[in-house]
Amino acid sequence: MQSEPRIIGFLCNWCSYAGADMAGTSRLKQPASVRIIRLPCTGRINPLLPLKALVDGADGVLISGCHPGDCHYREGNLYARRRLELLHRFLPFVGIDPKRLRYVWVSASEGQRWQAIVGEFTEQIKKLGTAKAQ
Amino acid sequence: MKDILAELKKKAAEILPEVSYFICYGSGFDLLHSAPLFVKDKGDIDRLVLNRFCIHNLTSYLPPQKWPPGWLLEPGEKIGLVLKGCDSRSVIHLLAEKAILRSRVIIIGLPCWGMIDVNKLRNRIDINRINRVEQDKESIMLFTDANEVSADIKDILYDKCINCQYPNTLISDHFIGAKKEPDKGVQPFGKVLELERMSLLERSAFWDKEFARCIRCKACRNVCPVCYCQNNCLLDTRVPHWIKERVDANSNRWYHLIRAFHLAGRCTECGECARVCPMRIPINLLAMKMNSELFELFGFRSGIDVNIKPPLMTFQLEEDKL
Amino acid sequence: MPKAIMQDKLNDWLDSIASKYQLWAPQDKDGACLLSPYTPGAPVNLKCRPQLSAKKALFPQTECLLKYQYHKDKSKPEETELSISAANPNQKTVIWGIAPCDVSGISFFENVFIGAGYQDTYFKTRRSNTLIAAIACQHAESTCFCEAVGGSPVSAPDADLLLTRIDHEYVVEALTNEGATLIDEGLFTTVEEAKLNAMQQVKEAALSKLSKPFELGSLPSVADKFLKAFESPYWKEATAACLSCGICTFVCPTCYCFNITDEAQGMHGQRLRCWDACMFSTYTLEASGHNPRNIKFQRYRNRLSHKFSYLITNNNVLGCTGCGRCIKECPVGIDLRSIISHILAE
Repeated sequence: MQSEPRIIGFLCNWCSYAGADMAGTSRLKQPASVRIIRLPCTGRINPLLPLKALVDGADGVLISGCHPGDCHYREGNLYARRRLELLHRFLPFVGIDPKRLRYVWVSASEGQRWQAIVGEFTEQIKKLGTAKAQ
Repeated sequence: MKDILAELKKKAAEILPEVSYFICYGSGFDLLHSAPLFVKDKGDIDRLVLNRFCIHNLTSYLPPQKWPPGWLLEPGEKIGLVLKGCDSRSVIHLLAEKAILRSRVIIIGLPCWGMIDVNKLRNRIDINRINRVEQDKESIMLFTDANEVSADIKDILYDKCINCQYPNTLISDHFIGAKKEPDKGVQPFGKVLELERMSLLERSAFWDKEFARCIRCKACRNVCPVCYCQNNCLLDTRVPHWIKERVDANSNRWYHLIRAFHLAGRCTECGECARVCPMRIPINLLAMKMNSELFELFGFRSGIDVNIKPPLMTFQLEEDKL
Repeated sequence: MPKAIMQDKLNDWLDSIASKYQLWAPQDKDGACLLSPYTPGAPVNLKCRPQLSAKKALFPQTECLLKYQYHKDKSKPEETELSISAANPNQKTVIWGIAPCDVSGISFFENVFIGAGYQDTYFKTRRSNTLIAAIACQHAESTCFCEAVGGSPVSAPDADLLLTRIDHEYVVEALTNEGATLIDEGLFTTVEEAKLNAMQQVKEAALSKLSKPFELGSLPSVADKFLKAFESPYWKEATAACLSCGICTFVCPTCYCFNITDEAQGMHGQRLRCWDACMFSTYTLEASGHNPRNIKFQRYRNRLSHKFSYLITNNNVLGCTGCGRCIKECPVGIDLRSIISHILAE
């Protein structure tokens, strides 16, 4: 496997994106494996977006939004939670390893939590190896 | 079934003045096939047919986006149709989604003893030479010039009809015949479980093999009663370029994944997508897997109750199982 | 002189053909019968009517016309070089075990793709490298009507070989010299008079199995009748149940519409030719948003009028071989035969 896996991150603008930014400005060391796509809210995430990333050969997809109850738009992440859980459960049925998808909640002040999650998830993906582009 | 047909014809004649047209079943290209029939004139009521081959889900024609051209309705005009139990789930779902108006359909309900899968007859008799069919509730007799076979209905039913839980139309304005008891055995997601016993790699190989056959005729989409975006379908757009023009296993897999996610919490398990597939791909399994997960997570079954919101259209702050 | 081969030797014969040619043969694949590339030893099914016609062997659903690649020299960022390589599908091929209706379909394609007006390099290359071994059809289905459109289930004049099954034996007639080269002497036996008579009887029996749902009449008169029926309200009635899917066009041995797209991925890409279907509403959708055939009865009317009128006027051929696939596979049981009968009688 190449040195760093390719992970696509879908991050909510109002929390996790700022959290990841904070991890950066606080100089917290983390693997350079996540390519971040900034979204207005996890509620924006059509399940087809992460699915397309996985089908087209991303090694992993990491989705992060506001903690339930803290959504900037009040309820976007609550819809997202149902959709993403369903996606997570559906993946193995078509032969995609569900360990390649993870969704988490990280607030704007949780730079350290973000660092830990990226580290953990990158390790997990490294163990799974390179995904084959479908 | 003959007495139900007579009653159905009587009822159809009765409601015909109230509706613009009546959708029902007529005879098909041979004795083992029936076909949807659109009746406008009283004279055509005699063409009505009711047998073990009326598999089509007539709900497919209900959403306004799918009204047959030349059969478009003016505001206030109504459609009449006959529905089996399984098909009525699609109507209930469309009502829950507010895709159709209850006041514009008149539904004739009936009990159903299951429909026969002609593909399951292939090995028993030359299905191209059938010249007579006799059927009752338990068995069917098929005759050719040279041969005759009888078959136990249970062996040749469509998979979805085995252990049917909804043999009676769930929502109707007129119900004809006596209600049938639901089957005792429970096997709602049977084939899905079979696939789940495979390993990840086996399942991936299974779908590769199946999707390699797909020719992307889009019949599965067009026949689907809850697929009604018609000309605005994501699968037809070039911008954004969601799907490649190329037809191969990978591109086809993506096509079916897109459909599966658009059906999440909406599929009513009528099985029409798999039935119409000219390549015999069990496409319905994808949406059934979605349904089985939604049942486990939220106890949800689609098309049972008009007043229950489909789970992906709502949420709870504290989810029980997430 | 025809030769004969026993059924249990068929695979040996096919293996020997497959060693020299790319070989297509009808095979069962997970509940579907498909004409697919033959792998040595695989069981073939000569009793089925493959779901898709033989056109896919000569006119694949996805055909790569050319590949292209951009090259960039980092020292000269303003310049881009482009290299293009065109496909040349000149592999020697045998299409084996197809029914005469599918052979007519291939002959029909020649009218369109290598006719007087236009020569399609890709089709022409494939066709000139392809031999056809047809089999006399003894399995007429309830949807078959090849005789009514001028065909015959037991003769295929445009094939290179014609097989006829008699019990557990196949009589093989070579119709061309190239066809004769496929007959592998060791596996075949000579055929006596009695067997030839038996073959004749089998063919006659096959003919009697067919129904003739309509009398077509002369081609120009058919073309004329379809033109006159253009405004008929019958089209709306007949297509009320139509789902606007592409099954009838994709399974049809004579539907040849396609779409060309470039599929790019970064610095390289392919130009693809893929089947299109006139039954899709997007088929005639114009960039302005206007769609001249927006309504499904218009599309269905066009599909049938194309086959039974426009092609007769333009190419003097009928665009239907009577294989019946569109009837058999139609999800809502639209029967082309009854529509033709109706239009002819109108």
